Amino acid sequence: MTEPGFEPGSLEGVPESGRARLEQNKAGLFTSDLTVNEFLLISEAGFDPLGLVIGSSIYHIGVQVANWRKNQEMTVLSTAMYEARELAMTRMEEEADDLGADGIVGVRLDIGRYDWGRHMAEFIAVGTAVRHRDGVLHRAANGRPFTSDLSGQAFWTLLPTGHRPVGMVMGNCVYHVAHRTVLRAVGQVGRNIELPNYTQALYNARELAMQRMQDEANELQAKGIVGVDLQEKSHGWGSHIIEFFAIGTAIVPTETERGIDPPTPVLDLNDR
Amino acid sequence: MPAEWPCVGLFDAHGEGVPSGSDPSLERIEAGGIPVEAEVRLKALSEPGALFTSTLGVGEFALLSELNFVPLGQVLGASVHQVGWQYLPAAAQWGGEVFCALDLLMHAWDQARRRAFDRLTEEASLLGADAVVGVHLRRGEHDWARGAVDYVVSGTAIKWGTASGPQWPVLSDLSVQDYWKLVKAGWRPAGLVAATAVFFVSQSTRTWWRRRITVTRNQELEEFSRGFSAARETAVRYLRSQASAVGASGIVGVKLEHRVSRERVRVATQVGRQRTGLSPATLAMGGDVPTEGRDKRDGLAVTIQAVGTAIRRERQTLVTTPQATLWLGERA
Repeated sequence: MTEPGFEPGSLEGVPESGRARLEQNKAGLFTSDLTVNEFLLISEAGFDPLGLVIGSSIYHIGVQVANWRKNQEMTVLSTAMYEARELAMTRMEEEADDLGADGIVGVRLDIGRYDWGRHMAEFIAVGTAVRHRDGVLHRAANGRPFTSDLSGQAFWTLLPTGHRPVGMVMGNCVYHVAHRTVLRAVGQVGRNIELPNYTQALYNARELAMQRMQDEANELQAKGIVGVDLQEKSHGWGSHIIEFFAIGTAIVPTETERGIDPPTPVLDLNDR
Repeated sequence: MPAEWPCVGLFDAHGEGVPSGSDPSLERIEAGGIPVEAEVRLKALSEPGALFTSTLGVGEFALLSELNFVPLGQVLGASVHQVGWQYLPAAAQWGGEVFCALDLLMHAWDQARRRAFDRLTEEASLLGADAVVGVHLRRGEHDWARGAVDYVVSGTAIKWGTASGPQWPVLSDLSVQDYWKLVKAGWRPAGLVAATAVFFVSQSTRTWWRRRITVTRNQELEEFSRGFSAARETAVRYLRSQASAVGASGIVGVKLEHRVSRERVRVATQVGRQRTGLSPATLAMGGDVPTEGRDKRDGLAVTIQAVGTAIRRERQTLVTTPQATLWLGERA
């Protein structure tokens, strides 16, 4: 899949009002969707919030006709869904780069659908850009600001383990599940049996999505991926076409990889 | 005959238009294994210096090093299973009370779960895992596969850093936090136990009339009470026997999930029992299949899904006494 390139300093795709907002953030006023607890923990971890960054892309999803009888990947749809998300993420990263951020925390990736565009979807990435106070560079190996869907609490917990987030990684696969032929269905009627074709279709699609996510993490030279979320959605393509989407945060070790202090068990004396 | 016969779409012996033998993934699935795609992914994960993947939250990840565990990769198991035709015993055609286990349905659930768990274990073994934590069960139904159950299990495979591990990866649905607490208290998970019980309850004609007459009165529906508790008992009994099979001394975190639905089930009359002797094609034409009327009973089907982690005592240790805390902030 071709990747929309990340260009440092580029604000392509950011509207006029967005640029004005970034100018304001640069002047010293930060915006964020962090809760108070998250804000304090991120400060404690040595980071300052710079501003809310957004990337959005309205994408027309092409058409592909599936072979009625075949388990197959819908490559056109897979590519569209992947590229649109990547585009939204890249725009968000470019905004963060413009603010001079080291990374973005609390990223949410949403898909919006509107009734005025049946074959269109809006892909939105939102997060809070942060910068390390002492200027320790935390960017990914490819120069992009790091991205993560970790909350402020999770971010604070991760750093003492000697790891830091390096980027959100994702993989997807839109798959067409074959219809059963009549003869097949008749042959299987009334019996307790596994349906290998269906099992294989759903299994394959999930594995492909996870494999692609893994490949992305490898590109980032990550040590691992935490918090993988494997979603299954049919975006109005009809019931036999399903998208499997895997997303997680890739982490890399910092110079000092170490364990956390032994935790103390506590009992909350408050009532619920 | 031309290679592409125009009408093979509907009556293709192999179905799905794929000549059998051309798809190794499908063959493996048919044999109860995992597809080639899974093996490729796991091979990349098990190479030295490879990254790990996990569904672990950051808190769980941080605790791994405390336990001396190494995360290996996210593993998966899935199976789509068709449920066969369920019949009630022949006696159900006379209006008496019916209360029985729907054994065919239970068997279908068992098979689907076993296949999914086997695949999960196979994936974990490929990674050389000692345990799978945070096993998550998902049961789905799709409108394109009516009467079929889709069973998906996933979790994170880990390796014990120190001692040599067990022969098979030990599954558990515990989070790493819970794992930590158990290990600190001297316990170890022995395996994941899961069971499904499906029971069918239908009131007798006489009871039905009696209840119609006394409809204004408060009363217990005894047969339903009995049916529901029997289903629960059965599920828990299966859990217990599975737990003792792995030499566990207890089960923690049992989750019971129940679903009740109004069902109309065929009664195994003469025709029903003969069905094995019929060709599938005749059956599909509807000729000898029991029809409406006496051959069916209305009632409630209750499905209990139970899952828990069996644990075994390893050494006698006391839990660290918890420190009492008082939260002064406002509740979220």
